[in-house]
Amino acid sequence: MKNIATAVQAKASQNSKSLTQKDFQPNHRILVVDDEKDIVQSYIDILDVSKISNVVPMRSSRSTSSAMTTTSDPEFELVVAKSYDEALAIVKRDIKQGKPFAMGFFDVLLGEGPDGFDLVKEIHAIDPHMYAVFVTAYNDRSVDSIQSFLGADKTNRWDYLNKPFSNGEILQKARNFTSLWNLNEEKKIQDSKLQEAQRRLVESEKLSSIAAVARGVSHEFGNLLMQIMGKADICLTENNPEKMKTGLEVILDATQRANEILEKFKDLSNPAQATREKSKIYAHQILDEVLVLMEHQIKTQNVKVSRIKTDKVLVEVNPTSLLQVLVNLTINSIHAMGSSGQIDFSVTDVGDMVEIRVRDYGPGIKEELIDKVIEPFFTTKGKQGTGLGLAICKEIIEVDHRGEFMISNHGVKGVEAILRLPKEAEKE
Amino acid sequence: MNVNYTLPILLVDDDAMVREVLIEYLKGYGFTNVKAMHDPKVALRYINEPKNSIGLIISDWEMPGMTGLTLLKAVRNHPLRKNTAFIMITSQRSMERFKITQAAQMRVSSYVMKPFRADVLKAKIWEVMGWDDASSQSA
Repeated sequence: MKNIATAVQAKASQNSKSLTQKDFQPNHRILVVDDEKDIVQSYIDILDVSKISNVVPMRSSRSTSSAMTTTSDPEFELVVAKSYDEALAIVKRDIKQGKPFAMGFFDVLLGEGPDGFDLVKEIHAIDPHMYAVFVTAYNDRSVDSIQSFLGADKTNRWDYLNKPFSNGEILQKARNFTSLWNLNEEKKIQDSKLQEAQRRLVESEKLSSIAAVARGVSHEFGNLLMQIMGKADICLTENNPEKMKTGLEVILDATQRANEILEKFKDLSNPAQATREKSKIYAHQILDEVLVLMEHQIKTQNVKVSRIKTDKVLVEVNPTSLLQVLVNLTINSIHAMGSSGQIDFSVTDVGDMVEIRVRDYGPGIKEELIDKVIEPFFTTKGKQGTGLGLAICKEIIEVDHRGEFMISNHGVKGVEAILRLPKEAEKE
Repeated sequence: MNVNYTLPILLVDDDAMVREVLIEYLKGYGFTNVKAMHDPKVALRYINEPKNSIGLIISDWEMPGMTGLTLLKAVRNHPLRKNTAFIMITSQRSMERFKITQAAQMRVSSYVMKPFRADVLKAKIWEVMGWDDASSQSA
């Protein structure tokens, strides 16, 4: 029976451990700074035996070194220093070794010279995250004066206790501050991991739309090179100046078109190099580029493109970002419809804004999901989607371009994306 | 075997300029009976009509509505056309191996990758038709 009980306990403690991040190491290091031997002993007794039952003999005067370390108790690791200088040296040494303290108990009066407040101020200069609890027999300093001495930014990093302290007070302060320290650090690690994961997802989302465009570009290039090579070959074999002239014209057109496609593709695949600068351009020109880049996919998926309205409106945009948004919306539309269908594009002057609409004739978005599709990490594409496409679109339009971005079901059929951008005045 | 310049050839490619080049190639070889189509679905109807005479099909792989592979499968499943020579044209290099395997399973006679010069296609045609060496023929 006893064995089973132990096994269950062990299992339970494993489970609780697995809740914390794997590469986050909980820190239970506590520094005790006091020059009175008996007081130091009380700390050791309270913190060292707290987790083990009362029958366990106290591990007390086993070390004669001035800095005593007890490591046998898993709840806390205690390091004791008897003076200002010793404490500072220990903190410096341990920070260098990557072993910060979660918190410390500081006697205020440390003999002659600097006191516990000076010590903590000095320690915070080295390690601003360490929590400090001042322990004093005298109410010689008001809380306000400590606050102004240590600085307002450290308000939540210190506390105080009056001597004589009770066991419960020490234990509870120790637990409070070590767990607070751990929570803070763990959150920091998780935040940076989250940021990294988000950055990667944004990258991969970009790459997948690039891959889709790349397939089209590769096909397009095959055809263009075919025209160039074929016409050149025909020109060579036929001795007909008239035919040669038309052949060369075809070749020039094809190289021109290949170059245009390449330029656009370069911008799209390398947005870091494409300047984030904005330029004045007619809104429909971006749409023209999108249709060039997407031509192959549109054709192979048997999708009909209808340019319902094309108002000539000047906007100031980053052409690459806007291209990315429209490519993304077009890919979404194609995905939504499967192997055939229609996409309507329109560019409409609506007062001080221009409105670009991309509408497909697919099944639409379920009503209960309509508000979610723009949220980051929401996807209806299973593992293929990162759920970032529309979130990025929204960011680009609303943050980078001070515009508006909306997705809704079209009244009749399919999904409609509406983006509005501020209009630029035509040059006089 | 002697070259048959009146061989009825069906050419299917959706790209107008490429189609034009290929027609010129074929005429340059000396062929006089070339039927060119841009829509694979129309081509399929033409293939399925028994009274149409077809000696060789040359088709692009990537086309809207229907791929060249679908067309090839339909040809191979057609009792009248199951042995008709079929040359596939492809353009996406990254997909080549996969495509060739698929096409080989459907007994494609030969394939050629864009872009290609006139003599390359000519050699392929001569090869699949079992004609005497293309280079020794005068076009």
